[in-house]
Amino acid sequence: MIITTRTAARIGGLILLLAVLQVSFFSQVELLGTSMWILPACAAIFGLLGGSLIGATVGFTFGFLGDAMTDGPLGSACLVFLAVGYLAGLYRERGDFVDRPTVLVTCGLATLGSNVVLGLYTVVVGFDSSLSASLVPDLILQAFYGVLLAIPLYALIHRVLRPALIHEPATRRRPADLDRWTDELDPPAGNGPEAFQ
Amino acid sequence: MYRKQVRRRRAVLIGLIVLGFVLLTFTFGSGSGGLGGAVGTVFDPITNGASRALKPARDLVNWFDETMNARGERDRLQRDLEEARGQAVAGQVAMEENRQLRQLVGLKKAGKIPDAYSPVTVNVTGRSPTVWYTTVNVNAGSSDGVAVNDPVISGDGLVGRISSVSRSGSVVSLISDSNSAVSAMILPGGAQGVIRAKVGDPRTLVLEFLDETKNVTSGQTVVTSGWRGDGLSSLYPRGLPVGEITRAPIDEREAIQSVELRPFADLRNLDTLQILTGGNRG
Repeated sequence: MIITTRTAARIGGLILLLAVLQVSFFSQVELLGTSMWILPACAAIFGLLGGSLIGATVGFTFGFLGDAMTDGPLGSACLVFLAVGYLAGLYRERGDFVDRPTVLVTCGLATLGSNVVLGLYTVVVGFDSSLSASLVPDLILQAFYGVLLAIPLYALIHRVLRPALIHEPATRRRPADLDRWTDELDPPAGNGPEAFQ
Repeated sequence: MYRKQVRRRRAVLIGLIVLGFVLLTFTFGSGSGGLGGAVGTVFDPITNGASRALKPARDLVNWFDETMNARGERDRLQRDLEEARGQAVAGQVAMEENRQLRQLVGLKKAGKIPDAYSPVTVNVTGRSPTVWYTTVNVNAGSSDGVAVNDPVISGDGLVGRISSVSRSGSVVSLISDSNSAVSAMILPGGAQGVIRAKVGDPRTLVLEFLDETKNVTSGQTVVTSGWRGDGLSSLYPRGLPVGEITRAPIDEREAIQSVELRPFADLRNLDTLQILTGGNRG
């Protein structure tokens, strides 16, 4: 990814938009009794598109904003999302193939892993309460929502970052512009992530 | 050139990790601290505006969830209604008797909210997204007279307390939060205990440290006890309804009896709340 001032401003705006959407919308809607958590999936997608450094930096920022807006303990989510973004970026940089199933699985794992690690942190720092068994289905359901939301989130983030992506083909104006993301998620002709990008 | 890039990447990563640990250390056990509070203050107007704008979309999604729950809830409510009708008649007689007795001893007219408190009505504008941190954001802050530790109630009962305040918004720690502890008593009978969360299940709370000699049964009501003594007092006023006992296992091997209760307030679907400002703020 080529980072210019304009690209950085786009990324900043997108991070802010996603963090506000998380707090104002996704946290407050429930399906089957569980809310949706998009921030880990977003950090992972940034990593898959921009590499480990972008993933780690964006993940850190997501963690900071998410916690600051909801008065969570600062730092824990920063470090967890940093790791999520970094690992996703590392996967891309190793030259492993990034296709649609990879995006879905990465987002699901990112959500589940973040929840488990933050939960373990809560337990390690100590709280004097009993754990409910209903926590397990909630964790799984929230990871499932992460998978469901991976495609639209990937399409949104990819669209905003397109000008900065290396080997991104020149903008093609097609009438069916909304369907473009499906083409982009199809396996590329060549090998490696650059071919996909 | 390549080495320089690698060094720069490493420096950024290490810097972020160190910053993360610094934030963790300096804000440990105190919410998001001053820095988070400042950021929260900046973004409060944005999240408040976004929350209002997105309410129709939120309501639409929540409608599906609520419809699925509604059928089971209807049957339960019909049973509750039949029971409540019987209790209502008895309650009206008791209220009238109570009012007359209070007049006799010269006490003020009693309500659930003591006169010392001024309720401020607020709307929920955000909520902690994880299943671990149980807080909600509301759209009233220090400019409305809200202060840390003010009790927060819904139309059904106790919801939690204010854990941090900015100028235009506040954060409410719910009674389902792992750090929450509410002194409470059971009616009738007056057995006292402490309500703790059952983490991950906001529909269940645990009432601990009950006197094992007191007989507790399902269906009894739990209210805040609002104790005072030795210069200390509870954050919550006496008599706020909290929940209903759902499971009272009799286990004589346990020295400390604990029972489960269902909170009256639906902690997963909070919308309009009241903050009781101006009272005892611990």
